[in-house]
Amino acid sequence: MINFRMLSKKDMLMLRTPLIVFFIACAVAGVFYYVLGVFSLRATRALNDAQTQLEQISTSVEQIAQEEQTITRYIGRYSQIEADGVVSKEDRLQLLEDMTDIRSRYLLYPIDIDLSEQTVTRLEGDIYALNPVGPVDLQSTRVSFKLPLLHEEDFTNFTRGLQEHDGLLLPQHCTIERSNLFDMQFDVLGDNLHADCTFLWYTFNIDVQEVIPDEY
Amino acid sequence: MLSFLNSRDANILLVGSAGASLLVWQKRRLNLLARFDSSDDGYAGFDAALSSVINAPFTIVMDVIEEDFRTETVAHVTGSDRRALLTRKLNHLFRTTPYKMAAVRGREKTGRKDDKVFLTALTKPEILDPWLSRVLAKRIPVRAISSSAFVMERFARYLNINTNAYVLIVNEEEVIGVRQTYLQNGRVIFSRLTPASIQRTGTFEEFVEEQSTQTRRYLERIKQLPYDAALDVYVFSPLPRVENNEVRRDLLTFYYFSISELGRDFAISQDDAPAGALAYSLAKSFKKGALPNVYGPFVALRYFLIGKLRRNLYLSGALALIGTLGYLYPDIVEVRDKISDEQNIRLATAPLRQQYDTMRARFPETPIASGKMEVVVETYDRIASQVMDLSHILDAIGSTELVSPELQITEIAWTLEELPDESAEVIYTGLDPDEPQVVFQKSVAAGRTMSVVTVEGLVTSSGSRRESRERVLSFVDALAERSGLTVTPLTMPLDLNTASSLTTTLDNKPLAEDFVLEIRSEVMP
Repeated sequence: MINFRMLSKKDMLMLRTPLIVFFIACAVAGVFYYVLGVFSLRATRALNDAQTQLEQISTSVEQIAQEEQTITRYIGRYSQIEADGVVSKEDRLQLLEDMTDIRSRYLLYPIDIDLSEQTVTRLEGDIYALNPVGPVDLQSTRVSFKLPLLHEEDFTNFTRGLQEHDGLLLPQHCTIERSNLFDMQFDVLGDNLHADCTFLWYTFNIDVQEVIPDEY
Repeated sequence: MLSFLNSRDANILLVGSAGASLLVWQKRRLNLLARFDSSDDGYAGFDAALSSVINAPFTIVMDVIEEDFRTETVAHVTGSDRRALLTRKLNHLFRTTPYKMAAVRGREKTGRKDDKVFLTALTKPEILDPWLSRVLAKRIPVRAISSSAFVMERFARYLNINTNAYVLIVNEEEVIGVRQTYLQNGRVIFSRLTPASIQRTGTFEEFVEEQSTQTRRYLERIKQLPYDAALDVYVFSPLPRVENNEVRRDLLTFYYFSISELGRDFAISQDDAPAGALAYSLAKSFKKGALPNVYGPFVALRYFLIGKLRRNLYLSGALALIGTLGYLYPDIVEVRDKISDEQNIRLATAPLRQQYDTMRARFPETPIASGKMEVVVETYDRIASQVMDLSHILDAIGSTELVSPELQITEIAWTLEELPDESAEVIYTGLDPDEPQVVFQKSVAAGRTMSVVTVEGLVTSSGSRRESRERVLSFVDALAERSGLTVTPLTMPLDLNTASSLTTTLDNKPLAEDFVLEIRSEVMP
């Protein structure tokens, strides 16, 4: 007589091998999926790293080439400018000495000199450049001269003397007017003309500390 | 291991009350392997034969008297209720056998519209058990347990007589006897076997007519055949029996066929005894697939189902692997490409790195960063370019050819005016952008300034206004030529503009009139 119980243990054992094979296959598939995911992630990272390195090194090469080109182009001018004392603190004493020298050399009348306080304009340069640099401060001082002139030659001598000064002086305003239009006596020593000039004295400060805004 | 599950090859065990025949369906041929009596010797022989059967599942076909058919009506229910109802009904009717089946075959058209239920069972399991137990003992899968009645149902389908409303199929089998199977619209309703051992009186045709008439009366009594309905009786015998193939008797019409003629072009082994309709139908069934299970309970079919499950598990595992590989193939290709790309990029990076190192090594010494150097030099040059030589203007004005005693310069004013431009490339911070000084410094640093020289003077003449005016104009032209700058008269000794009024005194006194000139020079960066 047939035993009509449900599946016996032996029957179940018949399913053991295919079940094991099935689960191993699924596990292998799962492991493969996972491993490929890990490989894919690593490959993506490695590719990104390689691309980043390539971009960095390309940028660096471009930068260094550009820097080299810039230096080659500007080093001569810069050295001259630096030698002229433009890239340094303004030497007010030296300016006064130079004025004294000009006055005595050209036998000029007394000169009134007024030096204002220094103002600063920050030059940020090209912040989008490959190699952005820190800021450079353009410092300016307003230098006002007032001097009587015997004749026009005095003014010409005065301006030529100023041109010989090492600093960067930019005339902003200058007025020369006759002291006495209808009674000029060039045969008598006296001031026939009067000059009133304002110059901007520029220097550069390259050692500027960048100000980081406060974080709230 | 799995080949038999995919093959149409089959072992067929045709079980009768007296014994069983082992047939094999292989290479599209049905062959009889052996016959076994229902005795210990027969069972032992079957046992031995099982060791040499082909690797294919068994299909067991019962051809016994002890097969019961019932058609009843039950309340219309569906789903699990229907299953429970049918199970209960089966257990009630056929309590002693596990080989039973129930199926709903439509609904009544009147009244409660109950379900018409067909119930059938092999009422004497003792006939099947010895054979089945031996098959299962060897763990040979059993695909189906069916019976001759259901084989005949398929037989009717093959002969296209299944569309007739009422059909009685009579098939004579050499060893077993004569079976009558009643089909209603092609579905088995009733079947009965008259064993070959019964002594016949008269011819085969008279025997068939007598048996068919009895069956008809029975069917009318159990209300499975209307009294006035015509019944087509298809008679199949291994050999031709009559001259006239169609005989009409009242509501019965007999059609006689010879299986040997039907199966002339059919692959039934000729080595065996003349095949009847049963063998013909079995061969035809296996040619098209396999016989469906009718009576086999789960436990009897378990090895077949387990085998099927095993195959599905193997296939699923293989599919999981192949599917995963297929699904991941684009990713695999992508990873391979990424690795290849990475290697190419690294190869391209190496010479660049070398170039960088070389450039770094020969990089010139510099006091400050190149960018700062550029800013300083460019800004310096821009500012320096705006420095105008004042003595140059003075020299031009002071030339003796230009300034005559009649034309005197009273004031020279030189001013550097800013030309603000918001699009300047240099960005400035640290100062209030609204302050005039800041605006001016921005313009200077950007090189956008303009030198404006204003020359004021006095022109004298003896009395001719034209002379005074021409003197000034001559002075303007000469000054422009010598200085190379644009000279514009702002105020002339006499305003000849017709849009304005003119007032003067004409007398004998010498004329002395003011004039103002403007000299502009834009300094471009």
